[in-house]
Amino acid sequence: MVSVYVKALVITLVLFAGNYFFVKYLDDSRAQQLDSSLSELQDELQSSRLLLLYSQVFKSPKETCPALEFVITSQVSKLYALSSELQGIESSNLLASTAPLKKKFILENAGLWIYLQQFKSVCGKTSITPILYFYPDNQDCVECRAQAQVLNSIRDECKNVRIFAFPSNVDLGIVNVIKARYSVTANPSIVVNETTFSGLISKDGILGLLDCARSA
Amino acid sequence: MAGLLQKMRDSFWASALVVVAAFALFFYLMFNLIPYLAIFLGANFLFIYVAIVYLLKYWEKREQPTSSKRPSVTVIIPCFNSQRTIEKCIESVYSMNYPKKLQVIAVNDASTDATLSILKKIKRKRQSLEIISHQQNQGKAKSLNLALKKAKGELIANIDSDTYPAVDALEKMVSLFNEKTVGSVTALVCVDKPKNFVQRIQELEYYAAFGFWHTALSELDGLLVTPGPMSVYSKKALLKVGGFDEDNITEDMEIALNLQSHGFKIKLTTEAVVHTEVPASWKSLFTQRLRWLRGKIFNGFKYKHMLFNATYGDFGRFVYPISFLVELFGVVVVSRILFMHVGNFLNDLLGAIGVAQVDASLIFNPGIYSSAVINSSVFFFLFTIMVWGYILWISFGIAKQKLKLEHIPPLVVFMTLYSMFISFVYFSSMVHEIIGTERKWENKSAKGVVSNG
Repeated sequence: MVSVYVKALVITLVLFAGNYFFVKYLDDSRAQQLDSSLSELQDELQSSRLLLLYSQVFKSPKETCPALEFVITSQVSKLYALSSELQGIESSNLLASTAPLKKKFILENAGLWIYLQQFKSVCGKTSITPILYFYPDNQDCVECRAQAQVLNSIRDECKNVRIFAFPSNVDLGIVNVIKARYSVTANPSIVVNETTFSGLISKDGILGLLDCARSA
Repeated sequence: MAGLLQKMRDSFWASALVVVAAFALFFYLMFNLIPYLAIFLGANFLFIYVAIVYLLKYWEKREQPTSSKRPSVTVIIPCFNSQRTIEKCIESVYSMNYPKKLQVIAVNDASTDATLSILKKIKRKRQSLEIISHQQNQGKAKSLNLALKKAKGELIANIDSDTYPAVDALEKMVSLFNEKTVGSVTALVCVDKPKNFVQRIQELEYYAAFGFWHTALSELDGLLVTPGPMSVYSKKALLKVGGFDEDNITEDMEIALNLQSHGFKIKLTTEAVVHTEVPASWKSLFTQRLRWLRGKIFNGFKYKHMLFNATYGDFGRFVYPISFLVELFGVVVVSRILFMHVGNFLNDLLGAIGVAQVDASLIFNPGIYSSAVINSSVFFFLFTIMVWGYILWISFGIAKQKLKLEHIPPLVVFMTLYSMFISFVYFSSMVHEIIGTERKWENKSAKGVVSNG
């Protein structure tokens, strides 16, 4: 006859297996939700690109640039919000792989940044001040976390500043090209107004490098 | 140097500081070396496994063989400052149905209130009542041992002076002394007329502890305590194990372990019901539980030879060691959660008063927020609620009680926050034992009534 200890062990293991599937289901649902948000953003970006192309073809920047700038600002904000969500999922989801999502996100981020550059050349200027932020992926870097906190604070304070974060050690062509362009070799690194700064830069140090349009 | 160390040991605050620092270092290392998820899952696995073992044992519950013999019984009532309850207690004892005449001994342990005069007044009506009165307070165990020397009964019923047994309690308990190896029989202890919220929580706790858990434990011959409110002992067994330990603050637990270590069985009948007074405030409840748990740690060292020892059957192999592991894991999980929340609070506070505040992710392992933990918490919480609900439903049935609307608020607290309170008491008891503060009986409930429990 099987003892109660063995029976209890089997029941407990079955319960834990149930818990595994429960947690995996919820993790997968969250990842799927983020994936669909990223896809929506991709569609929006595609639509903006068409608008910019229209502006170039029909030479009507005055007509389209203000609307485009509004759209870009909104898209950058959305993508930045999704980056926090992705970080949350990455650090917490044990049972769902986030690698494909992350790749999608990085490409989207790079696409948006390039689009911003394109917008500048078509419309002449933009009120958006981009900061590129490079950090190591899957590595603990206290300075990087501190730098991220400083950048968050600047973004909250200056409504014109938008952060584009890239994992420096990810093997993606577009990221490698951007890194090479700005000679990024250390972590953390930031690029403000086409100048690269390595190591932790204080809030005041960064504010001294850009025009901050303070939020009301 | 030696003098300085001695001075530090003698100073409560210096000792407390050392212990808190030691605990902080221990938890810091543990929390940094072991991911919270591992602690969380490990603890939940243990809790669920133990609950299932006891549920299975409960479902296997067998009919207990009884004896028709009714041997002579001596009732011992140790009293200390029991003026409010002693008369009701003694009247309950004399009201019990038992075919043989009882010897009733009340031991007044140098009460400073009117206990002695009340005892004398009762004696005028109940002439068979024997009174032993100490000039100096000697403690409950010594009082019991002194009365034991005067006891003429084959069985000894120890009843606290704030406990009121049902009329059939003794008869039902005695019937379980069907073989010589039965050292003690315990009863279903219930809270007497709970008046406030703290007592209502304890009412539920007592139903679950003495109803379901004790039934399951007794099925494994694993009762860890012969409850102080009322337990009946074989006099031969008591004498064989040397009576009650006079240096012990939980003599009811010590005697149970002593009986177990000598191979005596401890039985339970939930048909025998006794009602007892319980602490009326959180403070007095904390003090009582601190004594219980300090006693458990102390007795743990005294009877460490029984831990994981198959010679003592299920008791040594499972029940006794698991009882410590569950408490230890409870402390670890609760302290981990408190550690994080207190840290967060301090961090927010520093920010609020204009001192540097840092991003929580810089100081806390984000693993504690992980969805695996949160989602698992939801899963285990739902499971725990269901199991606890079921256990309470069984326990209410055992106590022949019905769930009423007034039980709902204490039930919610009991099933959620109360375990945190108990874990905090566990933690405090460990600290007190390491510091080595004096072990003593609490002597006041919130109403200024001496509690024996």
